[in-house]
This record gives sequence, C-alpha cells and structure tokens, in this order.
Amino acid sequence: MINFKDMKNLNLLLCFLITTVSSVAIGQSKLPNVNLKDINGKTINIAKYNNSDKPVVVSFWATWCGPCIKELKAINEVYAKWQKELGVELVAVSIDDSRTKSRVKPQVNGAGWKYTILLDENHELKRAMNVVNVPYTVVIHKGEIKFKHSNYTPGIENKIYEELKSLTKK
Amino acid sequence: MKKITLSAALLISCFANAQIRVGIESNSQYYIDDDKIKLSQEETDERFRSNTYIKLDYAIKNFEFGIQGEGYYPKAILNYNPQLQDFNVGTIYARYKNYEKGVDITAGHMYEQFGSGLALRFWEDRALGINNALFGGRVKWNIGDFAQIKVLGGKQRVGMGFDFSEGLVYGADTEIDISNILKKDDYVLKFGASFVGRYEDVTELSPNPSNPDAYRNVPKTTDVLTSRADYSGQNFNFGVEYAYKTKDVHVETGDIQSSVSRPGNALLINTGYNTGKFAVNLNLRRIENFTFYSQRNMQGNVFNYGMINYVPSLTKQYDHSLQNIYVYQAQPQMIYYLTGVEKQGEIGGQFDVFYEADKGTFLGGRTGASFAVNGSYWAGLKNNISSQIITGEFGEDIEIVDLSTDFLSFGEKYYSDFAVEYRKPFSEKVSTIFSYLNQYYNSLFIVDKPYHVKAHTVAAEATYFLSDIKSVRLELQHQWANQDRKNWAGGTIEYVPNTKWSFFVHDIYNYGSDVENERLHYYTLGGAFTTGATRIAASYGRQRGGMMCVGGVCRFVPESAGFTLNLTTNF
Repeated sequence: MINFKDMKNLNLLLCFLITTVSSVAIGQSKLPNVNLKDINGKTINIAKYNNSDKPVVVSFWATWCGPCIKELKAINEVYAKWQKELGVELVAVSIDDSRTKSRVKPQVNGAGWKYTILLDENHELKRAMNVVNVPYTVVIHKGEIKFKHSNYTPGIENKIYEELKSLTKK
Repeated sequence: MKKITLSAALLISCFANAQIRVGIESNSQYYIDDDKIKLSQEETDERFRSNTYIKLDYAIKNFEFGIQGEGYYPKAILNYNPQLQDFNVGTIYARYKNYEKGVDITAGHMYEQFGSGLALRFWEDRALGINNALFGGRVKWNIGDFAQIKVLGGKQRVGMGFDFSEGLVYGADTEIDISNILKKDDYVLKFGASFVGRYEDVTELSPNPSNPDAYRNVPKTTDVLTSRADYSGQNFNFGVEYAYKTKDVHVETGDIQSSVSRPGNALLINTGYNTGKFAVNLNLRRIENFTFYSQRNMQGNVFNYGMINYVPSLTKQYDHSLQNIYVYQAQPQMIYYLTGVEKQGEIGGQFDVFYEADKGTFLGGRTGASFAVNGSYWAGLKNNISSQIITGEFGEDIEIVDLSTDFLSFGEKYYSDFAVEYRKPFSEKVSTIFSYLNQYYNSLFIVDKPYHVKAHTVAAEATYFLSDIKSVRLELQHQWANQDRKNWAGGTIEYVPNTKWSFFVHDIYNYGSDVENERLHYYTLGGAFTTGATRIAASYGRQRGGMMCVGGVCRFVPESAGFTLNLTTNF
C-alpha cells in the first residue's frame, strides 16, 4: 500500500525529474557566453545578441574561404534592404588565425561590408557552437536560434531572407 | 504542498539556464588500388580508416563542463600522427566563467593564444591532426575594461588526451587598453606582454654511456618573452610584436647538440590603410632560430605535435587546387649540420590590396567589380659562416661550423608570389571570377627536393543561376611550371539543384610531366547533402599527394584513391 506520505515523496521525485528534464535545454538554443574582439580590438560578448528583439544573423567565415566570400558578397547586395525591411543585423565572425587575420580588415573595408565583424582567432566561439566547416550561418530571434545552415550554396541568401521574413511576421 | 512548489520553483531556477551542446564529426576513407594508384604495402592492413570526434558541453549558470571523445578506428586516416589510435578521451575540462566579475577559471584541457601566437598557441585543427591543448590550470582576470591578465601552466597533449610530452609549460600574458583608460572612442591603442617558460630536465639523459655528462650543460628552463603594441584608427592601423627566446641548445632532426647553444628572436609588423572602398595591408616578419616545442626532441616532427608557439607562413591561401601545389611553409628553424643546407630563419613580407569598383564607374562597369592584388617575398637569413678545424679524441679532424646573421640580411630566396583576382557579375544570372598567380618556389629549402620552380597559374570560374537557388558552376584552371611535375590542367563542374543538395565532378591532369606514369588524372566526383547543421558529403576519386595545408601549417598526404565519407552535425 502506498500511504499519503509516500505519495508526497513520489510527487516530489516526479516534480524533480520533470523539472530537470524539461528545463535542461538539449541542443543549442542560444548563443553561448563567449567574449570576442571586434575588428578594432574591442571586446564584445556574443551572448548579448540573445537579448536582441530583431533577428540577428551570425555568419562564420574566413578570408581564405572562397564560398564564404561569395556568401557575404551576395548578402551585401541585399543587406540594406534586409536592414530597412526587417531590422536585421549581420554579425560576421571571422575564424582567420594569425596567419591571415591581417587580411580581414582590408577585405571588409575593400568590399564595403557594413556588417559587424568579430574575430574568433583561436576558435573559441567556433568550438563552443560546434562549427566544423565554414561558412556556417545561424539566425537568432528573441534569444533563440531559429535557423542553422552549414556550407554555402549559391542563392542561399534568398532562403535566409525567406526565413527572416517568416520570423519577423510572427 | 507549499514545500513542493517551492522546491520545484528552486529546481526550475537552477536548471533553467542549463544547456547541453553536442557536436559530431566523422571522416572515413576506404582506400582502393586502381590501375595507377596503389596503397603502400605497409598500409594495406586496414583499407577502411576513420577519424571520429564527439564533443559534449554542459553549461549551467557560470559553469561549463565538457569532454571530447576521439576515435581513430580501425586506424587513423593516412599520415596522421600514429599516436592517434583507438577510442579515448581527447580533451576534458571544467570552467567557471563570470564576465561580470571579470573571472574565467579553467581546469583540464584548454586552448589559448598569447598575442599573435609567437610565444604560445594551443589549438585544434582536425584536418591537420593537430591538437596541442594544454592540460592543467588557467586563470583569466579582467580588470575593468582596460586590462586582462592570464596565467596558466600544465602538460601538453601530444597524442590522445592523456599522452603528454616531457616538458612542463607555464606562462602569463597581460594586455592593457590605453584607449579605454583615456575613454577614447575614435581609436584603439593596446600594449601587451607575455612570458612563456618550459621546464625540461635532460641533464641526466646522455645518449652516450661513455660520456654521462654529455647533456650536463643543457638548461632546465627555456623562456620566451614578448611585447606588443597595436593601434587601430579610422583609416590606419599598425601593430608590432617582438619575441625573444632565451639561449637553448640546438636540436636538429630530434638530436640535441649540446655543444651549440643560441638564443632566438622574432619581429612581426603589420600595417594597413583604407579609404572608401580601397584597402591595403602590409606584413613584415623576421624570425631567427625560433621554434619552441614542449619537448626538445620533438623539434621539426612531421606530424606537428608538441609545438608551443605558432609561426605560420605569411602568404595568401588560394582557392583553386592548382594554386595549392607550391605552398610555402614558414622556415623559423636553424638547421646546418645534418642536411647540408644552412638555415637560420626567415625574412620577408607580404602585401594585399582590395578594391571594390562601384556600379557605373569606369572600372566597375554596369554591374560593379572587385579587385584583389597580393604578393609576398620570403628569403632565408643570410648566413655568415665561419669554420675551424679541431682535432677529435681519435686524432681525426673535426670541422666546427659557426653560423651567424645580421639583422637586415636577405640570403637564399625561398618563395615569392604575385596574384591578381577579378570578380565580376555580368548580370543577375551570371557571375565570374578570373585570377592569375605567379610563383617562385625553392623546393630545395622548403621540401628538400632539387627544384627551383617557376609557375604561372590561371583560373576562371563562372556561376550561372538557373533559378533563385539552383545553379551551375564551371571552373577551369591551368598551370605552367618549368620544373618538378611541370604543366597541369584542371576543371570542375558543380550543380546545385537547391540549398540542400550539391554534386560535383573535378579533375586535375598532370599532362606535362616528363615521367610518363606521372601523367595522371586526379579526378573526384561526389555530392553533399545539407540540412540545418547536418552535412553529409561523399566522394570517389584520387587524391593528389603532397602538402595539405591549413593556416600555414602543412601535413603531408600520400597519393591515394578511394571513397570518402564525411559527416558533421551539431545539436
């Protein structure tokens, strides 16, 4: 027979199990707590974009990655429109290490990119988000990662735009 | 009941911030023998090879715990460090991060970099088989927004997670942001300094039983000291870093030469200027006797384990396969008595120019265009050689060679390149890239082959959009080289029906080789499927042998043929 007291304990145990399982987010739902430097050397914590009301696109790239340059050049063509229509901010995280890091600034300025550029020189953010290959793109909206895409295919910017539009509509 | 609600509420608040992150990568190869390319006899025991990495991180409030399991089973892919074998822990750590209080404490395996890495860089590159994480402890402390101090110490991973080298590595780094102290927003000015030490006692380890004191004079500690400054303004930036390594015995091909003892140094300068859509950058570097390993006899090992510092080659990494046949590798090491060539280091530089020509301008035309021009020149430090003959213990003559060099002294030319790239969209549907590359490659000094290669490479590619997300890409390349394997031609066709699938056929053909059985096609065909963060890629074909380089560090890969399967995912 289960008496009332046992029931209470069982309840407690159930509560414990449910709360534990349900509140541990399995999977990457947010940007991790990682400090990076911007293109001028100022420190920025990437987790601050979890608090943004507008969608934020985080795109991992490198100066030596041909497909990454193609992707960022393609988005650059429509970025003004994205910003105006949807209030999107694109954060381009360069994974260039000290071999090619000096090429980041001239590449960005030369191409006239208006993105927020962050440097992940020793790959702390790349590792924290389990990114293996670049380009790698995620969209964060209201503190949640809503879209992930690994690798570049021509025209992916149209897919990202659709995704951003459907997010901001909701 | 109140109690239950309360504990439940407590629990929720406790776990609400918890997050588990998982990353998986698996790369497999099945090697076959085709009519031209065969697996070498000693490797035929396992034709199927695979490298797998499973990484798990658990974050709760300010704490993080993580583990990376690695499997090289049945064996690692060809030419990985043979110490990478079976299944084992690769890295494991616990970390407390509280950026509000400015504290970050790690115990276990860690990755780190001081400055540009001249003194210290612990990093991972799976494609190169590099994971030189330090196992030990680290504290990072931020003082306001103007200073950061890092202190660390431990043993270095050289095989699987708990295979360590002999030396003990410890160091400290500090960086001060002057512009934050002065509350200036229009520029950034920073100073930094670091210290890295290695403790390795070899004084009792004489290889010669008749002379137990052979290594008696070898220092137990070796230190690297660096200082750096970085300025970044609106249009102009400048950075300089100088590193000095205390006197240490010379090591060549794993042998300690206790009679030769010398310090080392490195100087790195970077400067750039940009205005509008024009940007230029210049890098200069001089390195002299500047390798730093956590165990002396690991010096120069081909698998790149045991490195404490990072001295990458400062050259551009190109996109096309024929542009990556003659890849420069930095030459920081001193070599002189075993190889018959004398080297003490490297001196040179590289420049980059980027320019975006707007639509409607003379250079841009109706649709706009992008230009990138770059070049580099690298030479050995000029050797001042003096030698004297002394009489050995058996009355024989021994020639003692002494090497020295001046500060600005260019010796044997190692490498140079010059490249132009032009990107042009012709319409909404067609975009193109054209490039030309000129290279000089001193094989004798870089890869120990008797060539001085002059190569010209041209490449052209066009992407044609069939719809918003459907496209075909065609790429053609040709290389003229005067020596080694001479001329190559290559091409790629890629078809992307949507954002999930892609298919390609690629071939490079060494038609110009003087050796008939080297006139090979290295063809590959394959496809990839991507959904979200998951990517599966499969291919079949031949891999050209040679240096596979990432980030200026290279791994030799032998020629091979077979199937490849790559899987990456995270959740």
